[in-house]
Amino acid sequence: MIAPRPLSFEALHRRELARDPWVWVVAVMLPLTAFSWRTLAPEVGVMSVFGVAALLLPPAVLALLAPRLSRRTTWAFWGSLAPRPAGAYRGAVIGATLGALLPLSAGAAAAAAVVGAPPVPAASLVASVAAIVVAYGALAGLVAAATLEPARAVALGAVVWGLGVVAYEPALVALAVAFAERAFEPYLAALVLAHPLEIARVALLRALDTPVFVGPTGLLLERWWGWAPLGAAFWAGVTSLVGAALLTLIAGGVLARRAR
Amino acid sequence: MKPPPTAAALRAGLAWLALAAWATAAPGAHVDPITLAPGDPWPALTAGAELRLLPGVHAGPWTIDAPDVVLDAAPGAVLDGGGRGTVLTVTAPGVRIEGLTVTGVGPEPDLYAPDAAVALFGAHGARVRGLRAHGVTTGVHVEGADDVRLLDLDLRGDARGPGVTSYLTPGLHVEGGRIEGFLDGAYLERADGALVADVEVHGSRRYGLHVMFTAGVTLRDNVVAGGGVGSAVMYGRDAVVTGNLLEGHRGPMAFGLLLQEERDAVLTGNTARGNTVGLLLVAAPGAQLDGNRLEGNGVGVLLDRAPVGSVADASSVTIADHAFVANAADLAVADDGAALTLRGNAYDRAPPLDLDGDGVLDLPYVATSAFAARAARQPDLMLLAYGPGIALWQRLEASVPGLRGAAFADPLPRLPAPVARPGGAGWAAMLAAVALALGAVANARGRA
Repeated sequence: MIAPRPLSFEALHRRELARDPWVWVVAVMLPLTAFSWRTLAPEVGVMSVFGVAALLLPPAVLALLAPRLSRRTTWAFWGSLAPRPAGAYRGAVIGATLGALLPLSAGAAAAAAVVGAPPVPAASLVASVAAIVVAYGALAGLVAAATLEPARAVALGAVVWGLGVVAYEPALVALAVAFAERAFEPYLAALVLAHPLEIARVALLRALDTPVFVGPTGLLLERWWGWAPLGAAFWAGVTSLVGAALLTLIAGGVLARRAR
Repeated sequence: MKPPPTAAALRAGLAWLALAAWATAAPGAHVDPITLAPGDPWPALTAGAELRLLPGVHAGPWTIDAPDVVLDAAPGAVLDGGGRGTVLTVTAPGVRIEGLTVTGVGPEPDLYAPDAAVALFGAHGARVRGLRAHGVTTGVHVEGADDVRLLDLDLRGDARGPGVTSYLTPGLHVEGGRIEGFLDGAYLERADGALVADVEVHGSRRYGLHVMFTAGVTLRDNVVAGGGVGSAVMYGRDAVVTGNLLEGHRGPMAFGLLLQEERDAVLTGNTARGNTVGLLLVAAPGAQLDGNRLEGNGVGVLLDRAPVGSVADASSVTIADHAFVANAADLAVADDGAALTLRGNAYDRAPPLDLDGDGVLDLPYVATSAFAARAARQPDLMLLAYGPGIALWQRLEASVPGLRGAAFADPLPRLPAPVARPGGAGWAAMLAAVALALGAVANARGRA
């Protein structure tokens, strides 16, 4: 008789998150919220769903993942795992992120359908929500490894969310006002391109053909991404994945250092 | 002494003969038509002459310098200018040109003195119907002529000159037809009482319809789409713009319609869709905007300040019974001196609170935001539209009066008609079912 193969850390966490009813509650909130924009034009609905996803999902992902990734007992167990606790932790981060990714992406797809999004913007919306989940899943892994305290991890992640989502755009406007007499466009382009969430949002605007690409920066981005409707979404996905991979890599390293 | 009956009869007969002779000499009456076949020389024209062009290519350029001449081109008759200057020049009043096709226009694109398919100088009351000119520098040039009628034009340009250009042409009518691919679709300067109606203007490199220094112009039921800048009515008064569709003008300086230093304009029943700015008002005192639809624009209506050094009065605008739908920003005011009255407009993002069910929302709606005003001055910032941080900022601004700068509220806001979504619910249900199924599968595998 062949003994069943033990589940990996990735699979354990993926299943734990996928079975967590709170993940499904959050997922269902997306289409439920979208019903309030059902009577609006699809582009407004899609962008509103994205806005709510950007505001709602990061804290939710942090609250769902960080406590699981910062359990001291689990950490002690990982620490005893010679020779690769870092790899085990990275697997756990990836698994937990994937576990949340499927329901939340499905929720985004349902929300896109509710607001009547055309296929390409709908695909872009799902990709954007996936990018948010992946990015903040990796961030949850990093803050959990850095603090090993659920509350502190969530608080630290919330600070990053506040700076990266809530305050980022008003800060850009403030900078633009402050540098109104100078050539601010290169900096604006760099600040937009440096932020995966901003790229995802701009990708959505591009997919929806919204007439907001009017300044030099917008025209530059439109020409750059003009070769395909999903070009911007692809770029958003790549940057999110690369950023998330980097965060996960660092998270494993942080945990391994603490384990020593 | 009473004349004898025979003498009276003779005088009456002579009077009748004189009347008959006058009648036959009157312009346009009983003149034998001149038929021109390709290769025939251009005849000497007399008043009221009637020319009939047979099918084929006729070598121009030609000039009509006699009044009331009628030039009637048969289908397939083409007048070719050989690429030198204006192809057909009219310098007499009352001329009628019907169904002419023109090619071989010269290359000069000057707005005031272009090489055109047809040029009318002092041709009061002239009428050009069904002119077809493709690949030309300019379609029709009118100058110093009252009450000219340009009907059902079919013009396609090379984007260097204007489709129709007119200077000092009171009472000009441009009605019907299509003007495509010119620098300006139609440029009217000092054309008091002019009318542009039922014209389709597409793909202008600069302005679609461009009216300057004109009183009482009417732009009615036109379609202006896909141009580089938009349409503009500037430095005049009493313009009436009604029933037009202004669509798809995008770029840092693009708009559906610009009113600049235009006094007492009336805009009713227009639709501005998919433009960077739907309606742009710069120093437009007394503007009355009623029942227009602003849909899918970057900014629906923008009130901007006059250029530095301008002595024009600030805008004073009344916006009533509009529908603001799917604009990144409905209304932006970047003119500190502007006076704006909002009344009974429909906003798709207004909070839908209508407890008494009378169709008027129970709370005033603040349709402006500091972000929209700033983005109007720095167009690059439009890139941040719909961002979560901006959305939160705007929501806070609308809720907390202390955070507002210049805010304009509509005391009687309404909701626009909802967007129809045939089949959307079915798709949503299907996706929700798939999502649930996937979740169930994942859970089942997790328990296994």
